[in-house]
Amino acid sequence: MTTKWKAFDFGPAKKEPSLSKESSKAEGIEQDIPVQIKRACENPGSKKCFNFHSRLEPQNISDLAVHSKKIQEVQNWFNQYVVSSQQEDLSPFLLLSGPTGCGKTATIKVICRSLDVSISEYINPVDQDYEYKGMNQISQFIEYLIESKWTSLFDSSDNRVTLVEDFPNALIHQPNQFPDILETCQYKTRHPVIFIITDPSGSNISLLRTLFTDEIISKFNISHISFNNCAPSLMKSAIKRAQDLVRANPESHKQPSTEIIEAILASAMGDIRNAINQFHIASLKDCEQIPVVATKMQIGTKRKRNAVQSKTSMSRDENLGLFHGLGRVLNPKRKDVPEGWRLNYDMEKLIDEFSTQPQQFHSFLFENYLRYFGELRDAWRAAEVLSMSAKFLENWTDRHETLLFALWISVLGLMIFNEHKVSRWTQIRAPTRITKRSDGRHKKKTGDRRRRGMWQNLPAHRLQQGPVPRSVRAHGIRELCGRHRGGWQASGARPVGYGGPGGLRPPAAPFVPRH
Amino acid sequence: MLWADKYRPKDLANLDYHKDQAVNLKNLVKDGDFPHLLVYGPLGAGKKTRIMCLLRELYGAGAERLKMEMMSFTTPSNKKLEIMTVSSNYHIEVNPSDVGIYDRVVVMDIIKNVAQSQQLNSNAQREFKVIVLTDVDDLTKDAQHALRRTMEKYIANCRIILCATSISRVIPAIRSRCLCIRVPAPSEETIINILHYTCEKESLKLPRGLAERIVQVSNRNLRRALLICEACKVEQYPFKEDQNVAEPDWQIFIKKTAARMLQNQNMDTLSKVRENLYELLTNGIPSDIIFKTLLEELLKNCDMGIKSKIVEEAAIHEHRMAQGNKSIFHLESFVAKFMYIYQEMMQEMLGDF
Amino acid sequence: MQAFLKSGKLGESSGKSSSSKPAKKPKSVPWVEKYRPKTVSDVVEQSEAVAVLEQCITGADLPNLLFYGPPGTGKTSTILAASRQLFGDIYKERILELNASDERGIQVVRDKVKTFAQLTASGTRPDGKPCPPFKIVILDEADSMTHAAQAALRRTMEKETKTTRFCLICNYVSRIIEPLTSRCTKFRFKPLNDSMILERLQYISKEENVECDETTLNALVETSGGDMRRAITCLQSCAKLTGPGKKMDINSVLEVTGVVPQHWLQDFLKICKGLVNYNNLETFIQNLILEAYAASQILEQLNDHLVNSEEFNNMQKALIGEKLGAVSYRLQDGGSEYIQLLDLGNTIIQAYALSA
Repeated sequence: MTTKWKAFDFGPAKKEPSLSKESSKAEGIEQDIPVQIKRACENPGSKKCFNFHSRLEPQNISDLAVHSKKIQEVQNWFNQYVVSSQQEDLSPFLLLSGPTGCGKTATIKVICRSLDVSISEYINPVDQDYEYKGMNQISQFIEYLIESKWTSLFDSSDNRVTLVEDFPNALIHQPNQFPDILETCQYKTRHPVIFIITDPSGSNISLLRTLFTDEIISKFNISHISFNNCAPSLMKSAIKRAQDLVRANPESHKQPSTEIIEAILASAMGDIRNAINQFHIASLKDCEQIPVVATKMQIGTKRKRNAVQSKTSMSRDENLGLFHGLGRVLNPKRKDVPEGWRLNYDMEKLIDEFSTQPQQFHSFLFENYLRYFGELRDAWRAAEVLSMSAKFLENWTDRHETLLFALWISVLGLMIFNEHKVSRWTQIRAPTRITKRSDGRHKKKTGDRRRRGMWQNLPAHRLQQGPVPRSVRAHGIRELCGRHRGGWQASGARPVGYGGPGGLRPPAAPFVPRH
Repeated sequence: MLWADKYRPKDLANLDYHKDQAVNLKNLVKDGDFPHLLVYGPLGAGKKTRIMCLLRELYGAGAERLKMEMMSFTTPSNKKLEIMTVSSNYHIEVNPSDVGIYDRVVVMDIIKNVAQSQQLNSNAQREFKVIVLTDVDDLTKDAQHALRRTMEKYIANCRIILCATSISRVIPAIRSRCLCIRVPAPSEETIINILHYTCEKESLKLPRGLAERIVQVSNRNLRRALLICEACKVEQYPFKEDQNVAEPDWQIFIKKTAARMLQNQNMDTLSKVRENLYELLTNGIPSDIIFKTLLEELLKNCDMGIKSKIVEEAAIHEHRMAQGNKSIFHLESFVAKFMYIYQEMMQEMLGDF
Repeated sequence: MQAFLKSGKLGESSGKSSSSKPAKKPKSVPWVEKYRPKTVSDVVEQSEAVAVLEQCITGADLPNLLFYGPPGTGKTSTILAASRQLFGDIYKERILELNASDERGIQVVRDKVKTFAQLTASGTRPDGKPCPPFKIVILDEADSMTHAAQAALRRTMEKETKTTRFCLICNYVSRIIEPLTSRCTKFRFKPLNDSMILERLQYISKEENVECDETTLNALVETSGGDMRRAITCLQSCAKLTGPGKKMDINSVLEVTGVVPQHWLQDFLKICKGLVNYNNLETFIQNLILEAYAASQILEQLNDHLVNSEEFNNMQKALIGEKLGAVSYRLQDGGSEYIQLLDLGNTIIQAYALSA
């Protein structure tokens, strides 16, 4: 049992840790095949004298920094489908989703270990050019899943699961092929398949939404367990384990102060991996004290206005999340000075800290500023400012200075002109995108009824079918507006919340304007 | 088939108006050759009709056998483009602005293709083919610059007919290389006559009052007038003098939006207006049309004193809007500005009392 | 782009392209091409450039050239004629002409221009006559080249001086980067004066058997604004439209040149002056656009009118003039004609209000 685990690079590896990736490959079972059954340890990072991270790797279920109910859910699934496998006709699928560093993979590993189940993981082969050999890549993926080719020689255990965390790139481009793959696997695979998907934070590609639509989940009977952010209490206990570990190795590590640990916990935002990494650096002996910033934050509502709590956070990570940035700009704080007032920020620093692309930030500002403005007079000035900076943003796409300049204009403008600010909680909305669709057909959307209703009193023959000469089409757009092929398409302004580190939630409902 | 297509004149001799011009055009192609043309005029003035007549004059009925084709192009950056073309054996029609900023590639490739394929087919009726490019005023500057030399280069094998709504946006270099043909919109009287004539052919009776109202709504756009007339017929026949003439829905929608702006000037209205603008844009109404209609509606209800201020703002914002593709920013900025100016004026007036 | 030639002859072409044109169909040749100057001495008005080039033809070394000036003043014609005289029959091998319609990114400058520039050229023609041992790269419409491409050019220009001369042609010298202009000898091409154009038009109309009187030709000259190509193209177009054998009249000239009839302008000013109802202005502009007159043309004519007008004082002129500039810029950039003209109209109203 133990030896097997080592082969998969789990557990405390005794080899030189910085080589852990390569060595496991060399030592690993299937080194020549393009798809490697290998999983790097959870926290590859700077490891100096002893493998801090692999020591810290959760060994038992109790070590996991995951909510016990979630663990239970996963365990149940294993018990039902993997261990007691009654050799069903259809192989089961499990889908794990959650934000980064909430312990998805670790949970699977620990549970597998406790149940004596082996894991084979699909990793994208690196030598494939997906754009031209996309099909090839997908077929390879299928081959791997149904184990027609890449079976392990050493591993003959019956209890095995296939883990897919690294999806073939081709799938991202052609998500419509995914159901076919699942179908093939369902009948041919011998082992259960576990998909792990990280909720995107910031990126637009969400595999969860493109690949695992509700339709697919129900069709293939995929069990979906979604993880939440790592809770602070769980994180604390994980840190505690780390502290013990440090205590055991006083020659190379030192104990970070409580202040620093608090700061680490505050800035990790539920990402346990991040927290451990930070802790590791903080605990290294020859490392300087990590600077922390104490920010005074007002906590609570009007009733307890005096309850000012000092809060520390890491100053290393100075990026403001999109939502924080928006909040600062839309809700500017002022301080009175003798000759008037000033903004309560160091502007240069503030703008430096936006980690978002200027164009995107600008669009977000536009979509949301209206709700924060109390007076028309302020609003038109803001609108003017935005319109002006939009001009800059469009014409100088590749000059960073100009983009920054435009950002300055819009941010300062919005902050200064907001003289009658509305202080109420409003939902931040993502920018509405109106894109010209090249194929010209209107995308059919549920909830689109109202839109169609608006134009439906056109006689049917005016909505001439089929391709029409462009001249007619131009007239169509300008005069009839029902007969256009080059239609415009808005992906609705969707409400986004603050669920996790910048997690954009899926749209609750398509954007249907009121009249 | 729409009336507008059904009764489209096929021959230069049968054109209903601008007859002098028709004679000139006939002269132009008399000896089977003509320079590059730039046909311009407002919407529904009959530019395309004249071009088709001209082609027919040149090539006979064969020019009317049209087929639709998708052509594909590759940009220097290896991006694949597809564009719809309408062609006969003798000509090809393209709207290069369909492909946005890649229009330059399309313009050059089409002209080169046509010019080269021509040489293989030496016993064709004419030594040249005709390329009709529509919406030239929407071409990027880049494409227009590319066009000017290409036009000269391949004059032996092809003739280019450019079709534009206004030549202000066509660079002078192209204008100077073409014979410009101005097609003014038909007069209201002409449109009424044509409506009557068309209804006669359809054996319908069109009361003069209705015809006049249709013309008014159509804004001297013949095609639109015919379409409205046809829509009226579908709605209600026999016609009545006071029959409801359907205005385009979007126009009504914009009018409503304008009315809202005039009624209340506050933040609430501003966000409502934004929603309405999104709605219009989503439905494919070009932003310049929205802007223009909105401005017209607003000006109708404005005091002389603030009109000039508003028009000035409008001119600035419209220009900004035409440059980029984030039209909503500029539309909203104009809306906010207008509401502010209007509010100020109202308050001043109240203050006077 | 072209200038004069004392003896018109067929088959003149601009560079590599249209020379393949079959001579069997002479009427498909635009007169602009047909009457392009054949020798440098045929080019009129541009004495400076001509003098230098003539020296080169007689044996002096040719510097790198930069021709700039308004369109239709003979820039391209001059260099083409010069290279023809320099190289005779082999001139096609010795010149590389690139213009805005060719790919002219930085890559092309690097590859095409460099490769061409690196070829060696012999000092004799195939028929044994001597010719200069260099090649000419003509970069037409150089002002539309990107700055990066221009920058890539400067090294090449210096390195290949032995075998290659460059001739840059552009409308606005300000769009050429400084390092390039400093490497070239600059020649400004002046707009041609009216009598020259008139003389040319008379010559052509005689050659082509076009019947037309002095006033018609004068109208053509006036609208051309010193642009020879425009004048000749218009002449040809008018001749085509009226058909052979008939007399050309001034109306068809106005039509072809797109000039807005004077009465529209007067009406415009009149409406702005005695503004009774604002709707009048709106309707007027609406109609103007429906008549398909180009707004840019209106602005141009209005400007002419304004400058010479007695009606306005300087203050008013300045006010309107400023707006004219702004509106014209916005129109060029794609602004809507209707709104921009409306804006202009408003300014004129204000200007009138000043004098009241």
